[in-house]
Amino acid sequence: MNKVRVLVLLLVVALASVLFAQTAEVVEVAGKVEYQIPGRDWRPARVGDLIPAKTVISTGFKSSAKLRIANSIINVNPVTWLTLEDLIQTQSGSQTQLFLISGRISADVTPQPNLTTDFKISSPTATASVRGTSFQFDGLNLLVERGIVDIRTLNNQFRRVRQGEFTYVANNGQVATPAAVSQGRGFSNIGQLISEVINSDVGGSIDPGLVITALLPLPSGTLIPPDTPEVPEEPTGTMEIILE
Amino acid sequence: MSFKRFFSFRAALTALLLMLLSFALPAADYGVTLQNATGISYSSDAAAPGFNQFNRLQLWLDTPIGPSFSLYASGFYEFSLALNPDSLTPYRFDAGRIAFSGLMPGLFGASTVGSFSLGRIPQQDFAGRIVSGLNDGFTANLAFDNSQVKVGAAYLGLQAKNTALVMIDADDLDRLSGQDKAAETDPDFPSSYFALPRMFFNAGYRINEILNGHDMGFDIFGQIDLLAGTERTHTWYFEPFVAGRIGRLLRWNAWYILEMVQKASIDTAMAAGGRLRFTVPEFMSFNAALSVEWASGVAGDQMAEFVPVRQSMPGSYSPFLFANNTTIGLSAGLALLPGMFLDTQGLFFMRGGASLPALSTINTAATEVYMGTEASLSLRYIIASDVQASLSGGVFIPYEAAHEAAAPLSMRAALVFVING
Repeated sequence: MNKVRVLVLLLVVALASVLFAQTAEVVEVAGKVEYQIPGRDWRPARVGDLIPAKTVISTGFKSSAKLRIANSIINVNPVTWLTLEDLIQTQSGSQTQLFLISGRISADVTPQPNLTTDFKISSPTATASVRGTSFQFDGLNLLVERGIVDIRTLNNQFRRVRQGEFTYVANNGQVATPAAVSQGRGFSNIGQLISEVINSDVGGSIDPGLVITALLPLPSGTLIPPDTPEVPEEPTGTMEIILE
Repeated sequence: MSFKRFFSFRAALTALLLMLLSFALPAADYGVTLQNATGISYSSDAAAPGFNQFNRLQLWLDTPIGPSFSLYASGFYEFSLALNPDSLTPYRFDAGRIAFSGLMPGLFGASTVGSFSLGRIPQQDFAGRIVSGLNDGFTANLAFDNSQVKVGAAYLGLQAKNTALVMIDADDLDRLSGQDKAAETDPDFPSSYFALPRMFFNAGYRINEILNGHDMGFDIFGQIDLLAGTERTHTWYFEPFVAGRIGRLLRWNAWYILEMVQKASIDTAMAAGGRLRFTVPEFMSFNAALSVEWASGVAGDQMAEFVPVRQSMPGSYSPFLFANNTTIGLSAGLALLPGMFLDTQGLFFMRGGASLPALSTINTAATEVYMGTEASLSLRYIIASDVQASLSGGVFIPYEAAHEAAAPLSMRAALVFVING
């Protein structure tokens, strides 16, 4: 009898910790926003749609979308491609992984009480790991409005970016030392944000001798949705930093 | 280098560039930068104020070459005129930054990124006090985990002597003053126009965020004197550094340079410095910084004067070089309006050691440590993304007790426009 009780108890514990798939809910749409569930055609996004993992989302010019994933809100800006890689909810918390193919998103991640929140946004260049925060990220540039974000490039160059700080990934893989910036205008004046990083970089974190305009190639297998507004030729960005 | 060899080298370089451009031009970005600077100066020992006019027209080209490489090339024409004392340089042509660069993700495994740059490229040590500015050479970097390893090398003998500012030994000073053997036998361009043949190589390692928000690393430089027929002076440098963040608003760094000057004997010299920068971006982008830099002077047999590969100056209006000198700097800046910045700086100069800085006005009998103060003010305005103007001025006030009676107080102001197109 005791053995049966133990087995039942183990079964209950196992069920409690089982992973279950989560979906992203479309809560706002402006302009032309489409998504493609794997194996299906592209379809326009509508408020209330529930989008599963592995779906690719695309926004056109002057178009945007707002998604809710668990307690987090994702703003998908114009001309952005985004893949919802993993949307997993467990008893112990949530795990969200997005892949930003091109464009820009901002996210407001609210931690759930007593639960872990593992929220990552990757790009072909870097990964931003989120810890209860609000931030903007376009794959190269990162502005943290609240909380802490860890940014890690594909070759494991790492910086911790705190509230009110901005950093960028130079295209030779170096991550600049984050600088305190005024957040009022967000990414609207990216040149000024980069200037502030350069001015405050007393540690010379970006080597002025390595100014490279070559681009990292697209990762293989990138999906190109049909009837999608202009496909950027250089999805990982064309930022050039010149220090003379 | 003879005229023929010099121009055949240039012809080969031009042919190579044209060949690369023929592949690349369809995606090229190119433009013109025009710089105009008008200045006035006053010295208490001069009969009349001085006047300076400087213009530079720079052409540049920037183009990717395939998915992994790029080419940036620039060259410029300069005109300069000075009155009191009078001098005129109606033209000077030179290469600006010229860089063939490449990026190689996964060079030594998936988590590595290799990159290189080759040509006339910016190179510098951590503090920029051993070498800085454009040099003819290469630099290569390998980024892995949270570390970076870099190597580089450059040749100094193809740079104009007045801009290379190589002042390592008496041969360099003779070349700068036009009194060396080359100037006697060939007083015209090109042989006496260039800096003396020297090269340097460097290697460095840096690890990011090794402690909470702090980076550490070191640079190693070696400078080789290639001039035959005279006593050669090689110099070697080791420069460890640390840089980091304290909270959101404070940034700081500290560095130290150990130098070995190798002639018939080997002498030791040192330099060190640090900087603390405080910023409040929400309050008119306010920033303030405190910096301290020291370069050794001669101290008996134990210490030699610090000699960098390329000389630099701690200030903009004072006559001191970064040798045998201690400088304490205070600076502050504000954004008065969007795109308009006001910066001010004060520098206090002191001896670097027991000996005196090599300055013509210095009072060799004086024992004072304090040498003088420089104060400057600058107003910059970014009128449009490609047009900016600045108005700047400064004064150097020598400390009379440390200088000869005739030590001049000097002031300078300049209005500069830069237009990119």
